[in-house]
Amino acid sequence: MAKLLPKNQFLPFTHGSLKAMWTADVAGFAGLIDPATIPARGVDETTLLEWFGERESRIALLAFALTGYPPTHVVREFSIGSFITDFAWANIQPDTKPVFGFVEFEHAKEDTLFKQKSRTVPYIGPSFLNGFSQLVDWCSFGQTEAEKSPQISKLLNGHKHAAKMKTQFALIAGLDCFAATPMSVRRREWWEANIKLGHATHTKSYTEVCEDAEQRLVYLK
Amino acid sequence: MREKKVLFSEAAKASLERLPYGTSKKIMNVLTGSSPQIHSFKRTVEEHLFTVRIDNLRAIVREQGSEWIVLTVLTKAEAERMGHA
Repeated sequence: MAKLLPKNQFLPFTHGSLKAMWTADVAGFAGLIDPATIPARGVDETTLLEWFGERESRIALLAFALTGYPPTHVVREFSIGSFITDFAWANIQPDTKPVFGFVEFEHAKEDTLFKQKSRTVPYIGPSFLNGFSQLVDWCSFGQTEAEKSPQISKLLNGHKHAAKMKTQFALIAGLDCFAATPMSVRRREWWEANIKLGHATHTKSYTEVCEDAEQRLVYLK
Repeated sequence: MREKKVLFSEAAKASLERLPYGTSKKIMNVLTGSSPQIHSFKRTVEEHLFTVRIDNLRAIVREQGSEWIVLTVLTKAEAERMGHA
């Protein structure tokens, strides 16, 4: 089994040169979710958790794909109160408000985004809805719980903008290749446009996160 | 000559939340004022990207027809890590 980063422990992400490292990570991520090579029923959450949980740079890549800027710290399986996030990142710099991002993974299987049952139109997948319910909880309680976290307090010790810290949340679930019918695409577009939880919350497929990361690599020299 | 419209992507809006109030206005002023603070860093057939320098911040901007699309806003330290000295 892959050697994973420690749980619940913020690690500084200070690598100087990002382009070569992230270009390799994006290629690895794209290979992991490539419709041409994945198992017929898709990729399970554990495989994805382990791949990202092996290296700081991969968790940082998630943050970069979601926000467009690199984090200063990353962590695997971080506890905020009674909730556990699969990954988290922090961006802490002297003159900006500190930002903490929390990420929930779900499966990347054929029935994650939509599940075919008896009716013609498939139902929204239970795995996706399960992940989304976690986002709702985080948005309800996450900011308060994060403010009480000893690890976060330690990172913010003495920061002049500590009281103005921001929290952001993301759910990553499913693959676009399993939701490619015109109806599925329309339903997902509607969801993205209309379901807003605040806190810069994202719900994205692994395919979208990989594409965002690829597009943002052009920012890097 | 008509000024280009300045639009902020969702990622740029999120990146602005952590930055001082008024940053977006400063970016718009630079982009609409044809300031020498705009530096092209990559031009391909598909991409016309620029950095905009404002104090200790760097905005990454795409030129798209009659619009400037602000893609993200970075601190100087972040921009340096990403190769934009």
